[in-house]
Amino acid sequence: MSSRLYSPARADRREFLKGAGAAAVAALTIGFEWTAPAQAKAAGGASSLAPFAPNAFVRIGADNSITIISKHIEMGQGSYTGIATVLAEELDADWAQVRVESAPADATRYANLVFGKIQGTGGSSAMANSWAQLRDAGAKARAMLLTAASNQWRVAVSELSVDKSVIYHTASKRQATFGSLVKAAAALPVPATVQLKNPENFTLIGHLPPRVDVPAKCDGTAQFTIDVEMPGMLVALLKRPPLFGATVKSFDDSAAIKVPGVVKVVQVPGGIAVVAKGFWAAKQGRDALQIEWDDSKAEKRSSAALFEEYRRLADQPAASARKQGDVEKALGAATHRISASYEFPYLAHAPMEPLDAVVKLDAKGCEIWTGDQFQTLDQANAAQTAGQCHLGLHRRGGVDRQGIRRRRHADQAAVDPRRRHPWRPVSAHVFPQARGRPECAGRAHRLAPRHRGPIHHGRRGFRRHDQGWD
Amino acid sequence: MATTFQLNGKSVTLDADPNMPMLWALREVAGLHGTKFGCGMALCGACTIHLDGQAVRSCVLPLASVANRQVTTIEGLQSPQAKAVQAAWISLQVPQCGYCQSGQIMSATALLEKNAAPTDADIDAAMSGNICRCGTYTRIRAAIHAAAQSKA
Repeated sequence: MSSRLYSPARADRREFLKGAGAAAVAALTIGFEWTAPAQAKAAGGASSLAPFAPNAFVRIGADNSITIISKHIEMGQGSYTGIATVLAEELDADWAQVRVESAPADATRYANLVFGKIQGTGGSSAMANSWAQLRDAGAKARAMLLTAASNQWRVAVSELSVDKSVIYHTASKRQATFGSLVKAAAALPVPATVQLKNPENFTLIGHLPPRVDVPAKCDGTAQFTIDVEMPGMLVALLKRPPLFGATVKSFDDSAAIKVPGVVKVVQVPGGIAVVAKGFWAAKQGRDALQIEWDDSKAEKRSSAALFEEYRRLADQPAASARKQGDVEKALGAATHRISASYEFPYLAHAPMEPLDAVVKLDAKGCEIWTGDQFQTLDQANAAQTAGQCHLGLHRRGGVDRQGIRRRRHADQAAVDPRRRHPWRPVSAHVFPQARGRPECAGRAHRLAPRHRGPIHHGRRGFRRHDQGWD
Repeated sequence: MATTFQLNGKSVTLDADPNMPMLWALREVAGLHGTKFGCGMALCGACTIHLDGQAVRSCVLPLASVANRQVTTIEGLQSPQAKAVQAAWISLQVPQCGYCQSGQIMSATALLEKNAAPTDADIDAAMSGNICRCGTYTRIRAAIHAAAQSKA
């Protein structure tokens, strides 16, 4: 079923029901979207400049399932659970029925309200920017379900109560599940305003409901990028230079191309990619490459040399964030002076899952499955790189559970047409050379000057967020 | 070349390069994605499976070496110890990103199948080959104790 959400405007909803009629579950699953129809229409195009970000965060099925759509990615930090908690609280949902789905990349509907017109997860902003938006979305869904029950039983909404996805009319001893009211609720207009709960009545927020992503991570069913598979998919492995900034001087792929299963060897901006019918063939092909690197413009300093440079820079006059009083004078007159110096190594984020992406590029467009933090920036970059395919491009956030993916941007090479085998999806595993990985996980600082993976380039004073150890 | 072995209790024959590491035979030939690729050098533990009941790193285990032997992956865990481990993992909310957890659970299960009441030192020794990037080690240890107690 499409992950697109549908406007509550009647025509759109009928269109949806008609279109989804073939699939029983889909036909009974109604989407709510808190937006005026005009905005909903605009939301379909990435260039929309609609002034209000629509809120499209919940889908309730006739089977009582409650699917909460998360605009933020799950990296292990618990955002899926936090986001679901806020919406489910206002909805009075049965937590046992709550599941979470990753939102597709869409800066119109799923912008991070702190960042502006960008969909992204970072800076500890996921919960803060979603709080009011999700409470409102949950409360409005609840209000519509209550109105549907009220109409059905011909009693006032004020006589109804809700507990764990069931609406009760105590006086007449009647009750109805959310699922049984979905169809009627979807036919109602979305209320313009709605009363939010008094925090004193919260039963989920502040009560730590169990994490939604944990069970699948205990039986091997959680899907990471590396688990996305499509018929005919090829696997590309990159051989990157051993030093930052080094480039390919020359390479010999004659042995690599002979490895059974290797389809093609191509030079890409990041190094040399070996494209094969599976990982093992690609790995053997990559190992067989003979590459001469040009280190003339590469970073060759050691960790010690970099620290020397940092110390030198730290002694230079710097920009002032705030000026108040006379610091030098106060320090000069102080009876005690405390001086401390903090040094943080250049750390690799070192996710356990290799940095990877799955790309499906065809005449219809480009679809990407990956665990990046800034989906819509990647969407724009990929569109630029994929060139002719940009019109149909959308990035799927559809990988259910992500590993720690502390990287801000997708590897453009993943959609580089030069690395693409026509009509075949490519799974690009972009990871540092084998020698580096175990070191990455255990003693990341040792890797610093030679690390080839994407990392945040922090400056002194901004290091705390950039260590990756949150 | 075809290799026949017991996979999660059923006899299977995989027609693939006998030198192919089990990790890729499982993931790309048998289609079982629960076993994860981390380092490819038997240093991170994400690819841990059971070979005749022993926890082994599938990324360095050639397909040919499992011929006629018993292989168990996260998808095939059935023993009471395994069920206790998985229940404890959920109850103590062990995983964060979750990528290493298949391997952690395989190592923990192999430990409990041999040692019903492991000490902290036993746990550290058995689990030291499994790296967790999120740092869930304290919960892993607590969950192993909880699983052991639930079977006591």
